[in-house]
Amino acid sequence: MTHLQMSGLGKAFGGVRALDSFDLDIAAGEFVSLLGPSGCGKTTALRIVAGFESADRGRVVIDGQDVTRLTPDRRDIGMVFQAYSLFPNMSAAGNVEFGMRLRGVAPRRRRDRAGELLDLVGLAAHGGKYPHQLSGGQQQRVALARALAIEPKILLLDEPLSALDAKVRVNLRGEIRRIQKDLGITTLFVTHDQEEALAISDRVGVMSEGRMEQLDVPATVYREPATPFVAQFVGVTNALLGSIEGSHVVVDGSRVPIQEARSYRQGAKVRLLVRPEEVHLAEADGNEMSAHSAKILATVLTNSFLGPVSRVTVRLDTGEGQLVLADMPSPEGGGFAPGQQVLVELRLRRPMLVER
Amino acid sequence: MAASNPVKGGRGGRRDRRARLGPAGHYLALAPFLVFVSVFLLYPTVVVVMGAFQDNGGHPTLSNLRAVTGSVYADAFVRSIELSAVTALVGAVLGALLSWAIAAAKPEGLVRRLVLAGCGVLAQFGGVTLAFAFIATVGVTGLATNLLRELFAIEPPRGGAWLFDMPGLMVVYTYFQIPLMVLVFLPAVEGLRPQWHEAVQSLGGSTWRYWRHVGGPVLSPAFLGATLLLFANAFSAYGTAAALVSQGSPIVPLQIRAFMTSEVITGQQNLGKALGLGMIVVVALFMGLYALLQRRTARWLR
Repeated sequence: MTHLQMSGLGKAFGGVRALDSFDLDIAAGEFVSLLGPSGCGKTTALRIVAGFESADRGRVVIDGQDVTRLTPDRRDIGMVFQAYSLFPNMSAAGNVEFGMRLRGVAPRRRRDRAGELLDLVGLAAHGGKYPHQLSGGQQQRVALARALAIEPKILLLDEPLSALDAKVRVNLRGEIRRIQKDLGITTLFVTHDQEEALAISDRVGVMSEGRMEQLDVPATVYREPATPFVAQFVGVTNALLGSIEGSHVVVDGSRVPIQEARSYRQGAKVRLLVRPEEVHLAEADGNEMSAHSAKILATVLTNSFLGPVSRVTVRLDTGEGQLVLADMPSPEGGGFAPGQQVLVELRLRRPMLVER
Repeated sequence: MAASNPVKGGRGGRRDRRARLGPAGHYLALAPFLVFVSVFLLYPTVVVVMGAFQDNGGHPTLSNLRAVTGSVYADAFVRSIELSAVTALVGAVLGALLSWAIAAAKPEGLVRRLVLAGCGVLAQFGGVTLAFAFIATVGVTGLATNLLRELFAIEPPRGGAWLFDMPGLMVVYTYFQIPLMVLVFLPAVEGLRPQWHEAVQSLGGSTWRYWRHVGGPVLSPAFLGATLLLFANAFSAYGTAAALVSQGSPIVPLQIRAFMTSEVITGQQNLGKALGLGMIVVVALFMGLYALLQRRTARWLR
C-alpha cells in the first residue's frame, strides 16, 4: 500500500495565493478528506497530486518517489471527477476498460476485470449502457470503477458526490468508503460538505486560504476545533457577543466562567463560540436567576424536530437580544413552545474565544 | 412574505393564460409561419415535383427525368457535386481548425469576439457582393492581379479568367464556407469537457490518445454533420455563381436558370423542374443524414 506525502506546497494563480506552505502526510490505506469553503485551495492541492497543476514550491512524494515533475499519465493515480467525466462515446464497460486498454491488457482480461469492477460498484447489469443512459449516481459509480481499474497507487476523489441528490449522495459515500476499505487504497477526498467528510474519513483536514487549519480524526475536528475558523466552519456554531471580565465572559449581562478569558485584556470585545449541543435549556421558574448567574433568561422563537434532537432557537431577553441555537434531545426538547420563557445554560466542553 | 406573493401570483397568472390558450392557441401562434412555409416552400415544391413528371401539355411522362440523367445535365450534377464536396471539405477542415483556435482563446477576449462577429457576417456574405469583391481583387483587371503583373511580372492563370470557371467558384465558395463551419462547429468544440482529457491522462494516456480515442470520436458526428450542411449550402447556392459565370451553365442551379430565363431554350421549363427535383433529392438526403448526426452530437455533447 502507498504512502502519499505533500510538503511545503505553494501555488499562486496571478496574485491569488491558492496554497501556502501546505503539508499533508497520508498513511498507506488511509482515507483523508480535505474540507473547506470554495477557494480554500483543497482542489488545487488535489490537482497538484494528480499532476494537472504544477506547484510553484514544494514536493509530492508517492511511496518514496518524488513525482512533483512527472506528467499525470506517469503517476499511477486514479481520479474521480465532480461529474460528467465518463467518455460519452464508450459504454460503461468500455469506460472501465479504457485505462487497461491504454496499458495493453489483453481484451479478455480487460473484459473480465471490467465485469468484476462493475459488479463491485453494483452495476454488473449495466455494462452495455452508455453514459447518457445512466443516472448521475450510476455514472459516478462507473467513474469510480474506471479509476480503480488501473489499480492506482492513490485514489483521488474531487467532489464526486456534489452533483448528486441527497439520498444518492449518502448511499454512494457509504459505497465509496466500503470499497476503499476493501481494497485498502490510499485515498484523498476533496469536499465542501462537512457531513460527508466527517462521515467517511479516517482523518479530516480543514483548509482555509491555502493553509491547513486542522488535520485530525473527525470526532476531534468536531469536538475540539483547533482554530476559530474550524469551530465556525465545521458543524453549527453560536457566536455569542460578549466582553472579558476577569476569568469570565459577560454575555448579555450574564457571566460565563471561562479560564481562557484571562489571556485577553479586560473589557475586550469577544465572540464566544458555542455548539448548539453545548447549550442547555430549562424551564424558567424565576428563582434560579441572579445578577452573576451563568444562566441567561431567553424566549423560545422556534422549535424544529430533527430526529434525534430538537433544534430550539431562542432570543436572549437581556442585552442585545442575541439569537441562540440549542440542540435538545428530542423527547425533552420537543416540550419547548414558541413564546415560552426558558433559562439558557452554557455547558462548554472546550470554550473558544475570538476577539472582535 | 407578503412582498413575494404578488410575484408568485403574476407568474402563475401568465402560466394560467398560456394554459388557457390550449393546443389550438399554440397552432394559431404558428399560423403565420405555416402560411409562409406553405406558400414559399411547400407549394413551389409540389409544383416542381409535379412538373418534373409532366410534358408541356400536362400529360404524365418520365421523359424529363430521362433527359436530365443524360450527358449534359448529368455533367452539371457531377460538377455541382464536385464543387460542393471540395468546398465543403476544405471549408470544414479550415473552419474546424479555426474553431479549435477560437475555443482555446479567452472566452471574453477581443480576438474571439472579433473573429466570431466576422464569421457571422462573412457566412452570409454570398451573392453578387462577394462575386464583385473577388472580381475587383483577383479578376482579369483586379487590384491584386494588376499588382502581380506590374510589380512581379506574374501573369495569373488564363489572365485572371480562372475566376469565372470552376476553380474560381471553388475559391469563392470556400470563402463563405469557412465562417459557416465555424458557426456550426464551434459549439461542438466547446462542448468537449476538460475532464475527459484529464481522465485520459490520469488513466495513463497522452494527449494524442485523448484525441484518438475520445476527443476525435466525440467530435466526428458534429464534424461530419457540419460538412454535410456545408455541402448542401454550396449545392443550393445560386447568387454567387450567377454573378461570376456569364458564359455557359456548368452547375445545376445555372442550368435551371437557363431553363427559366433563356430566350434560346424555350418551352422546356419542366426539364428545369426535373433538375430542381434532382436537387431536392440530393439536399434532402444530405440534410437527413445531417439530422441523424446532430442527434448523436446532441446526446454526446449536451
